[in-house]
Amino acid sequence: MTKKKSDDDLIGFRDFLDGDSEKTSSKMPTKRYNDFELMTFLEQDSKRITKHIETFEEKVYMIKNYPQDIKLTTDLEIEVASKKGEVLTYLNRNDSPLIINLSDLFNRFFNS
Amino acid sequence: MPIPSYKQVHIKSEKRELIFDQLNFHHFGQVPYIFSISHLENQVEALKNIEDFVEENRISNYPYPVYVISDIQNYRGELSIFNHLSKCPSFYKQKVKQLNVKENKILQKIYLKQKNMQNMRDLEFTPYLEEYGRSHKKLSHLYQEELFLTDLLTKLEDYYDKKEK
Repeated sequence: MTKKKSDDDLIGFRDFLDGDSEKTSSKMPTKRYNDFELMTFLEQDSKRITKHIETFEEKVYMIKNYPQDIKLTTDLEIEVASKKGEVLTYLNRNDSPLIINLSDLFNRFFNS
Repeated sequence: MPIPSYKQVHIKSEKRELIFDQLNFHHFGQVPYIFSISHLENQVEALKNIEDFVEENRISNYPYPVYVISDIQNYRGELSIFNHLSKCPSFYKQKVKQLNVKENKILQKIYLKQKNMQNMRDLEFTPYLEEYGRSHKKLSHLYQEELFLTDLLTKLEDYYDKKEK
């Protein structure tokens, strides 16, 4: 009974409602999407410029007044030099793989 | 306040005076610019004059970039060159339309930040950033060398350990 009654209430409005729902379904999402797209773009651009400002104001100030690269480079250069020395002491030994391979190579080349 | 979308400028001539006259009308730093020179006969001369204009007027890629559309290949300079409009970064390809209140507020904030960045020109941060980049490259090379030597040392130690056993 109730179903019939609700159906009766919609007589005359059904075409209008269907048409309206079709229109909204086809138009609304694109409009919302476009709005969202521009809003997102503007927000991203705003964040991007804020990051630039932070970099140029704070980080450049730190780089300019408290540079760390010289100390880091010097430390690393010392480390590399000491490791090169260690490698060379190992390679200078008579039983080192480098000496063995080189002597093998020279012996084959000159003795043949 | 314009939306920061690409503004395309068709350069009319490759002559220095004409390029300077044409570009002097524009306010750089508010929107990204695209200078189109692919239709000109002497694109190299046009590009050189654009470079001069950019240098003399201290136009930087911050906050918005300047791109050039040209057929020139293997260019090694300050400007970014693309051979077609479609190759430019798509981030700034936005349709210009009427903004609502919320979008307008964000655009006003962007405008203030742009002004802030323009005022920072006198800080002359570029040499410091370039030096920072160079030192990072040097550190990276040194670190790679250190990694190689550590690896070599471990292998040599393993070799001698095995030999002693």
